[in-house]
Order: sequence, then structure tokens, then C-alpha cells
Amino acid sequence: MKSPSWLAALLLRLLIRGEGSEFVAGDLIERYQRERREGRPEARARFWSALLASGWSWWRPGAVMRRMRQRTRRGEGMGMWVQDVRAAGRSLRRRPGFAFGVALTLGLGIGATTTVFTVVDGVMLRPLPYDDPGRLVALGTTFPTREWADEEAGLQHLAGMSLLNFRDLSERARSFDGLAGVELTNVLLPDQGSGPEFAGAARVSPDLFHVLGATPAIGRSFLPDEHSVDADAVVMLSYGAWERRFGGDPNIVGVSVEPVGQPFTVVGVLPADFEPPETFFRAMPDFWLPLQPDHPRYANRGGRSLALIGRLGAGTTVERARDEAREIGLALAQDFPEGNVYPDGSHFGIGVNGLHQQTVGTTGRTLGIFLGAASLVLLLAAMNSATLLLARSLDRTRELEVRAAMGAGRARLVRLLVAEAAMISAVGGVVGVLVAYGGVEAFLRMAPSSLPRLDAVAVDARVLLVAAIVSVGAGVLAGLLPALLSTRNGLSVGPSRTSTAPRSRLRTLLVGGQISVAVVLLSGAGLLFSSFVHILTVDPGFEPEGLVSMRVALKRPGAADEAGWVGWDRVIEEVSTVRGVRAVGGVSNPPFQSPSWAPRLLLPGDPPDLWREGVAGFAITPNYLETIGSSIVAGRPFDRGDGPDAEPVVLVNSAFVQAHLEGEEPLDLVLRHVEGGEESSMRVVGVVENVVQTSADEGPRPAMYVPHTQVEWPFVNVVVRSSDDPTVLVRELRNAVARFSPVIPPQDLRTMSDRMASTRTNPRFQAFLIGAFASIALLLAAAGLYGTLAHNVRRREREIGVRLALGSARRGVIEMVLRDGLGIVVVGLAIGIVGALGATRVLTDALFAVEPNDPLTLAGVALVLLAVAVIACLLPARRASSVDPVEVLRSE
Amino acid sequence: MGRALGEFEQLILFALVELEDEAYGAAIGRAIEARTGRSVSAGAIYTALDRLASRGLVTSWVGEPTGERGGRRRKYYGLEPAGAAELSRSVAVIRSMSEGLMPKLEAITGSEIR
Repeated sequence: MKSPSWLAALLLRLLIRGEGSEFVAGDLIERYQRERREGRPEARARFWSALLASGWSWWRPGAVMRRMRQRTRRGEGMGMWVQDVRAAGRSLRRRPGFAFGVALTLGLGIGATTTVFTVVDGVMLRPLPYDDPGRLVALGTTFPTREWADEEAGLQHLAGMSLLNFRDLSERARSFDGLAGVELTNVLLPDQGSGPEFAGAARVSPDLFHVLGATPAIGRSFLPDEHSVDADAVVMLSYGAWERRFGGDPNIVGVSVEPVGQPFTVVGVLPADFEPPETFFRAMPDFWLPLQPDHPRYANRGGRSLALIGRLGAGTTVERARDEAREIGLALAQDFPEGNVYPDGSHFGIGVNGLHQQTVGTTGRTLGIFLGAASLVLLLAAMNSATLLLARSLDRTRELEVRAAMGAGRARLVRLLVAEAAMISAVGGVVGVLVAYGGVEAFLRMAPSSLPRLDAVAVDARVLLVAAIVSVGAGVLAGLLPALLSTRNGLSVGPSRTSTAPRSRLRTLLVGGQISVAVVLLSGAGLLFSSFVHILTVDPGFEPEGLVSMRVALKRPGAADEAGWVGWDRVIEEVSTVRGVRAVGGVSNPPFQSPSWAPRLLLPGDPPDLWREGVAGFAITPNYLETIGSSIVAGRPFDRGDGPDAEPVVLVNSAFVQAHLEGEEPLDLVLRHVEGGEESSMRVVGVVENVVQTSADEGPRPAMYVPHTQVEWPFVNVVVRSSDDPTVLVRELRNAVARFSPVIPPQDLRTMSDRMASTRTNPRFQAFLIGAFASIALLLAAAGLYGTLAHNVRRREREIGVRLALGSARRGVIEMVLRDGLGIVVVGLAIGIVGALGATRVLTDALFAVEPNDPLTLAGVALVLLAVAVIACLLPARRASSVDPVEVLRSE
Repeated sequence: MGRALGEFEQLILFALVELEDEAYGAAIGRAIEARTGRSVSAGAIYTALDRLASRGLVTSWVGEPTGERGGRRRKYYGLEPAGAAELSRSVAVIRSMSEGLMPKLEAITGSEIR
């Protein structure tokens, strides 16, 4: 080792400059090495203070200024730059409006890019908040028909795992330093004035905190023998829960916590900075309990309730762990077919994803689209600035000629112009960072909660560094080309003016380019917008307005042996007494909530091992369909007669008929339902309209409905139709549920409109964001077009005046300017459309009911752009036609 | 003859006397620290040496790169005859001025001056 650290080596190079810097640096290192050999503990501190002191003597402002003055006197190096920057500053001060306009333009582009980069940085680039996070992986069950969530990206689709499979996997796997399982649950806290309350809880296997590298802030974590139903019940608290619920009591260990039914003794508190992996935990659970593998609920391999987190052994890769997991999955399917193998012989497997990849999922693609769109805005802003700078250099041809005549070489002139652009873009960078602060704030406020890791998103030094690099890059790009062209052919003084043709051509090119970029962005925005409109206008198959739903658990004191459906009826009875309630129904899962029952159905004539996938099952009360405003297409709805002892009956929806019945008459068809190896029959008595299941953009999905009296269901979602104010209704509904069961409050109490809206935040957000970028783009492109044409007209005023004086019609002048402008527009539009045809393909996954190359959208985009362009052209054209020939000729 | 030597310059020149051919920045700093207990910065040493070199009192030469210094070279300094003369003159000035006055000074400060 030479220097104390790489940072020291870097600073030695950066800070210690000038003549003899080598000797000073060498001395510092030598002294440090010697003192270290002598075992003097202050060696490091002395090294650093000496390094900083030496650096200061070279870099302190006084010394820097003195050197600069010396150099300026000698006419070399930095000194010249200082002169250039000063000259640029003077020149910009003469036209502050121009400078500010360009800075604003660049600032918009830089701001858009910085905003999106901030998000990408937080979500994608920052490591997860654990020790050595690259070795953490998520594990889970893979389904035979759906192994990959995104095969290209190497992301497996992972479902939960049964405890038995988890145990066997832990015993057989060699790739991991640790494997841990987590099960989310909740505990019910007794009424403390504001009614009983559910609090989030997690059951964790012994290794979890070890795998994640968390040590308790207070007390201890669980002992091995506490992971058993026979052990004393213990609990750990999250730091937040300890502060919130127990006032941060330092003597918390040993205190008894008493949720309904089971007292626990607190053994420890988790550290304040502990964050459970976001991919499994939507919120921080308050209570952490030991997972008890000997609990009877884990005896079934088909019950996949555990999320798994592992730490890869040193030198192992995700791919190798994945290969091993796949093999173990296969072996488990052979050793324990029950619960691991489908009737058709296909089997569940075990999958592994990097924890970071699992957390961000396919979000990267969406963010990539955002970043691409923001970069296009930046590109457009840079082109726009370049046109403005070009226009300005045209106006300054004389000034540059004079400078050249006074002896400034080409390099000097280019430097002057680039210095101007760089100064402007520095201001643009400041504007951009301000825009980014606001932009990130707005982004976080509007972003759908499905975007992971938003808490890691913040404007910080890294982001500012990127903004600075982008600003300088954009500034130099926008400044260099105009500067090179303005000084190309050697500037000459006198009547033979420097040629302006190359600059005019470049300007035309840049304006056309802006139009093309704007068209690409507008097309993307147009597609997302029309896709969003399609989602808004999908018929949900029922009438969501005025509906409120809530989930009610059916366990209540003194009703242990009661059949589930009795509870359904009791709750509904209570709720229907609430004032303002016009109709009440019960369902296992209401619309916009993923259905939790995927029954295995067989049609007459199906072989017994056939698996008809993708049918969602619902239990409903007779008046449910009427309550939500859905309608029966054929046959009859359920009625009171469809009781527990009556003939089992079923309703199917239109999508079911279409997907599985192929023109057969559905009514009176007998379906067979297989569950746990037992088969039962149900007769189809009616066909129902398709009702949205999870979200509007999923398309029609097959579903079947059975009477709530003919299945066991441990909870009910009560759906209420009312014309009353929802806030009053909500309170009354809580009271009604409390009358049914004073212990367990309703959960997930929300209006249907709210449920519906939350499934739309994603498409709405995307359409809005890209729409905002496209609006900026359109505005900038239009401004660029207008500015260029207006500038042309001004430069040609004399020519136009002469034409008019010689008898040209004003109409002809207008047409001339329009021809110039629209020529550029049409070419830019054509190129933009071609670009859009390619670029919008990245949106395929984000679009609903619209093709990426939707001709209607593209035509609409073209129309909007043409309309804006015509206005941008007409204004300067009118100005040209109002030129007074007498004035112009007199001013010569 | 230029202006009189400053105290720090005297220290450095004495260090050159002590170190002979082995006088370079770090060694000079070490020598001064060893005798006076004063810690001096490398920058200050080189600045002073540059000043002395410009007055023709010291000379310098560059050594070979060494691993101990991360491949950097040492810059050695040596005493020029003019430097030695200047140093002895300034010591003589102090000595002749302090002749016989030390006991009195010690009486004022109340402590022995070594």
C-alpha cells in the first residue's frame, strides 16, 4: 500500500499541484509510512491534515487569483478562459432576454431528464438497505404454466411456498448461507376507545434477521426453541410500534402484550433502520412472531403461504442457485407429489430471483420508457437552443468579423461562442435542478403505489452531478456546432460578407429535427392517452357509483359451530337495517379485488386429469348481482330456494360460455367440481354478464358463481348500494358490524369508485407524464419554428420590401413564408412519423385496446402538429406582408 | 547581501548542516521536529527552500524514484557556501547581542534558558 487509501491517492493528485508537487506528495506518503511502521496511531490523522494544509496553500482563493493574474499577463491557459468567460458574460448581458430564453429552454430539458433520472436512480440503481445486498435472493414456488414473469430479463414468477417444501429445500440446498421464511398475518388488538383494531404482524423463521443482517435494538431475537406451539408465546416489536404503542418504554422486555385471545411476552425491539424487503411487505408489521413449523396449518404442501429470502453463499450466483432450486423442486415433486403435482402430471417448481430484481420487477421497462421520453425532451431542448444560438450568430456576423480583423483566431472565436453557450447552459442547469426538485416532488405525489422503492427517491449529490454533466454536455452541444459553422470559411472584413448559407441550412435541419422529435413524443402520449380513455370507457359490467364494500370476518364469540353462510346472512341482516341502504349483497371477492378462488372444473366428457385453467370462482348471496347492477343474460339468478340442502347450482358468465362451451347450450349443463380429490356436480341455472374482476384492462375473464349457502367461506365482502354520503354511511356500517361482532372490525371498507380508481392510477400516470413531456416538446418545437421564421423574415425585410415595391402581391409574400415554414414541417412530420412507428413499439405492454401504430392516433398527432405549425408560420408571414417598402428602402 | 534570515529559515539551514547530503523535505521536517518539537508542514519547508534557493543560499538536485514514496522522486537540498556564511553571520549576530545578557533574561522570565 502506498497511500492510506485510494481517496488519499486521488486527493494527492488533485490537491497538490504546481512545481515540486511530486516531492511534497512523496514526503507526505513517506512520513505516513514511517510513522505507521513506528506504530504511531496518529499517522493517518497527521497525513490528512498535512495533505489538506498543502492543498489549501495551493488552492486558497488568493493563490488561485494570483496565478490567474500572472497567466493572464502572460496570455496563456486558464487566463484566456477567464477573458473568454468575461467577454461572454458581457455579450450575454447585452441580450439578457435571449440568454434567459435559451437557459429556460435548456432548463426544461435538463429538469425533465434529471427528474426521471432521480427516480431511476432511487428505484433501480441504489442498493437495497442491507449488508452485502447483492447476495440476497427471493425464493418461491413456480407454476408449471407460468415460470417466468419476464423471461428476457431473467425474472421468475414466484408464488409463496409451503412450510414443508421450505423445510426440505433448506435441508437439501447448498447454495445458501442462510434461508428464511416469512408469513404475513395480523393480530387483533382489543378495543381501547376507538374500537378494536387489526395490526400488521409477521411470523418469521429463525434465520430471517440473520439473513437480513438485523440485530435487535433492545433485547434479543427469538431462540430456536421458541419456534414451537408448545413454547411460551413471545413477540418482537418494530421500532415504530415500540415508540407508538408503548411510548418508547426502555423496560419493554418482559412486558406482556395482549391481542385478542393470545398474550405474548416482548423479548426485543427491532432496530429503527430495519426495513423488511418491500417486495413481500407492503407496510412495516408492528408485531413479529416466531414461525411455528409444528402448527397444524402448515401440514399441507399445497398451502403456499411463506415468502422466502435467502443469502447466497460466497462465490455462488443467482443462476447457479436457480439451477439447484430447479433440481430440488423436481425432486420434491417426485418425493411428495401431493400438493406439488397437478392432476395432469405437470408440477410446481422452485424459483430464485435476486432480491433487487424481485423488488423492482418489470418496473425497469416503464422507467426506461420515461427516461427515453425525458431524453427526447432534452435532445429537443438542445436543438432548440442551438437554433437560437445560430440565429444569434447570424446577427453577430459583423461583430465576429471585427473580432477576426482585430486578430482573434478561429479557435479564439469558437471558444468565445462556446463559453457563451456554456454559461447559458450553466444557468439552464440551475433552472433544471429547480425544475427537478419540483418534478420529483410531483412525481412522488402522483406515482402509483405499485412503483417500488419510492422512499429511496431523492435529489442528492449523485443526481446533481448527473444534472451538471447533462447541462454541460447539452450546452457544449448546442454551442459548438453554431460556433464552428459561424467561423468556418475564415471571416473576412468588408463587402465580401461571410457566407451564412451553412448556418441557415443547419437551422432548417434543426427545426425539422425538433418537429420530428415532438412527433415521436406526441405519438407516444397520444397512444397512452387513448389507451387510458379506453380503460375509462370499458363497461365494468355493473354500476359502481353509490356502492360501498367491506370485508367482514365471520369468527365471532359464541358462534363457533355455526355454518359460514349463517354468518353471511346475519351480517347482511344487520347492514340492511342501516338508514339509507337501498340494497345489500354478499360476495367472496368484490370487483377490483383479485378473486381468491380458482376452482377446478370439468365439463361433461372431459377426461378426469384435464385442467381447465383461469376460471375465477365466487360465492354470492341471491341479491348480490342485483345489488351491484349486473344483469342475467339467460336463465335465472339464485334465490332463497338454493339452500345448503338443495340441488347444487351454478351461474357462469358470458366469457365462460365463450371460452369453454363453444356454442353448447349452457343452461342445465352439469359441471363437475374437483377439490381435495373429491368431485361434486353443479347444474348451470343461468348466464351472467361479464363483471370486471381485478382491473378494467384485463379483458373479459371466465367466472362462475355459486350460492353462498353451498360453499364454506370464512369471510364475506358485504356490498352496499346507497345514495347517502359515504362518510356517514361508513360510520354506520362500522356500527352495524360491531353489532354483529364486537371483536372484529370490518376491513377494507371503501367505495367502489375508489377501488376502481386505484386500478387506473398506472395508466393515468403514464399518460399524464408522457403527455407532459409531449406538451413541452410541442411547445418548444413550435417556438423553434416560429422563432426561426420570424428571424428569417426580419433578415429578409429589405428583400421583401424590394419585392413589394416592385409590385409583388402581399398574398405572394405570405405564401412564400408559409411555403418555407410548412416545407420544413412536412419533412419533419414525415420523419417523425417513421420514428414513431418504430419507437412506440416499446409501449406495447402499456397499451390497452390500442395498437402501437394506431393510424387514428398518428393521424390525430399529425393534425395537432400541423395546426400548431400553421399558427407558428402564419404569425411571421403576416409580419412579412405588413412590411412597408418605403420605410425599408428609406432606412438603407 | 540580502535581508537577514528569518527564524524558520535558520532552522532549515541548520537542518541542512545536520543532514549533509540526505536533506530532503520529509527529512528536514523530521530533523526540525526532533530538535525543537515543532511540527512543520511540507508546504512551508518547500516554500522557504525555494526562497533560499532564489537567493543562492541553497542548491537542489533530484533523486531516484523510490517505492516508499509511491514511485515519487525526492528533491534534495544542500548548503551553498553563501548559505553557510549567511547562517553563521546571523548566529553571530544573535550571539554577540545576547553576550552576558542571558542571566538577566532568565531572571525576568523566571526560568532557565537552555
